[in-house]
Amino acid sequence: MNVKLYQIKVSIYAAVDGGLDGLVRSMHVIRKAPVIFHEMAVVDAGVTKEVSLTVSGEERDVRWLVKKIEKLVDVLEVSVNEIPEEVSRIKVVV
Amino acid sequence: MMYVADALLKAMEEVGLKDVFGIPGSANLGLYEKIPDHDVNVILMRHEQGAAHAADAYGRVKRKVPGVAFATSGPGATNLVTGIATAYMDSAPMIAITGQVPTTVMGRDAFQETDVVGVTMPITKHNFLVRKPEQIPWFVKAAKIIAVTHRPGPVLLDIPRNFWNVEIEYYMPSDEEILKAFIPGYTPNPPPPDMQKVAMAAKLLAEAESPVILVGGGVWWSGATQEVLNLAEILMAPVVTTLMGKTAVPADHPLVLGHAGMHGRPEANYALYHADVVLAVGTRFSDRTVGNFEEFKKGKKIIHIDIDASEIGKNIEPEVGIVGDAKEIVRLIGERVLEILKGPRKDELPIIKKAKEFAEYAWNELLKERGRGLKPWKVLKIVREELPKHAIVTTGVGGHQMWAALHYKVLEAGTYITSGGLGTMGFGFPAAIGAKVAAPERPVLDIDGDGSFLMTSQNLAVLTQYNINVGVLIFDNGSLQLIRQWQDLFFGKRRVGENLAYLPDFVKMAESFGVAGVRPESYEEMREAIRRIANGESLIIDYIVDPDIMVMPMVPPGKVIAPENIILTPEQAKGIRV
Repeated sequence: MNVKLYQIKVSIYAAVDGGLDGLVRSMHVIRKAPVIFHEMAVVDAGVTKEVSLTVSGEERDVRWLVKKIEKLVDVLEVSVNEIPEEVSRIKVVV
Repeated sequence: MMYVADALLKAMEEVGLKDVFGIPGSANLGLYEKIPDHDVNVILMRHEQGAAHAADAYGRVKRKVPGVAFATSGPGATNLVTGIATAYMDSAPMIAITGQVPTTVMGRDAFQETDVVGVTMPITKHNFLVRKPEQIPWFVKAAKIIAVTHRPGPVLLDIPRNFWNVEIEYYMPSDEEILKAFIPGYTPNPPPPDMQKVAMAAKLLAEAESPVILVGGGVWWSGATQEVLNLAEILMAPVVTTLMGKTAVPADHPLVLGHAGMHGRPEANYALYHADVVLAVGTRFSDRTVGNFEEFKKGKKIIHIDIDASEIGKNIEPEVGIVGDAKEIVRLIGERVLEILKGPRKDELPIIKKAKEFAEYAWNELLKERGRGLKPWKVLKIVREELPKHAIVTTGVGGHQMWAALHYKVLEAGTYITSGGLGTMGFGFPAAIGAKVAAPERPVLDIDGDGSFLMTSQNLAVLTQYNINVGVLIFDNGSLQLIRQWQDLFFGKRRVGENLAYLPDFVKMAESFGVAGVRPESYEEMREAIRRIANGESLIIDYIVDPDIMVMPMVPPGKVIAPENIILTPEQAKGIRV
């Protein structure tokens, strides 16, 4: 098990429905993924909602989750970065 | 200016959505009121689940035109859910359009209010709650684009009932406008294939001793049948299919060994298990196909082609994963393999002979006379002999489905419709109705079980009301056959909840709906009955099956599809617990 902490950033198109549906749709994907969900922040950026998520899990599973989110119709962009544990206040527990 | 109800129907006409299966209710009566003014054909199904299955099957036949299901809010909408999930799991294009309570009371537990957008988020490719009535044509066109492009799937539109009489300026946007301004996060076309990976895949296949092509449902959606067969002929390698891929390749092709999996054909399981390189095309590597992922992967290299990037590596990590359109990628791989081999091979690879030798031994055991009455494999042989190649067969879910998968040969791509992913009992009959509406010139037969057929059999009325000629072959063994089989084999023979006591007389039941019914007692009578369906007649065939005839072969759940795990007789299951 090589569990690490990751930050996933998701840009959701909000011009048609305000972005809440896209956010919930993303949550439906995340809740079934083999990762641990830690925290989330959402910022209103006009036509998009910018979501920042922190999850921990194996890299393979996190990358798969990103692909699942990426294919949602209302998602414009997804990126993922590993968060070095020394700079995070969240401790990864295996 | 026009009313939203008219705008919706006009938009449907413009994008080619002319066949609808549904049930009216208070939240969509404003829509139904306008139907007579439009070129939209609405069929009253007798339960919304059936409407969804019919729309799903319609899309599976048409491929680029989704079927449409209408339902009212609340229970109408929730009754669609199983059908939507079925379409989602099998990547079938359909559009569900539900009425919703008025915006003035939304969220306040109004009469027949359900948040169907919330309910169906995890089981739709996309869904929309319409908030701006003037955007109705945008929603309709977006729904169609999303449903049929890339990896197909169901889309739901939920429309508040106070919108139907709102007057709007009708404007139908272009596809480009939709993709730019309405769904900019959606990419309808798959990415171009990675040519480096194509070259790697070709090299692996050309150098393999025992390559096998595993065909999934994606081959049908992509229209890649010919490309797959061409590649197989270049390599002289076997083709095996998943349950969903059964419809994608003709079973009478000499390199096609049939479907693999829990109830797969022995030759297909043998070849797939013993392959050193597997080219998997348009399949998600279901546990029902390979049994045990880790065991299956041992000693083989996998090349996985899928239009959906999230499928690559989901269940099995491939050596080469190529995202894109199966038709194009398989064609490109075929060209490269041809270059490497300097021409097509002349002789079949030895793995085919070995697979067939194993199968000969297995089939000798499997086709021994057992049980009373007409044997399923002989009946299905008659079905194939009597139906024309282009006839469409649907199935329910259960023992009959596995018998059909084993013994009914698909001779033309796209003619076999089954619920593979969700395994939805009750799918077969309404699916047959949807298929017949999509292809009225073709005979359609639902191969069903007594338990499965009962779940949606109220739609018999639809056949008579709309003169839709569909046949049903009911495997009537008075039990939930696969449940009984699992209980007998793996759960200490403790039969609980499998006995379908007090079944109706299916012949009289059919007749009470105005449909003819027969109960054949000989193979000749069965042949005559199937012939009537082949000639376009509606007919319910009550086929009495001995419930003690188990569906064999079988690989116990959780076990890899290795020859040593294939159970040919019930005695071989002794001691296995799952």
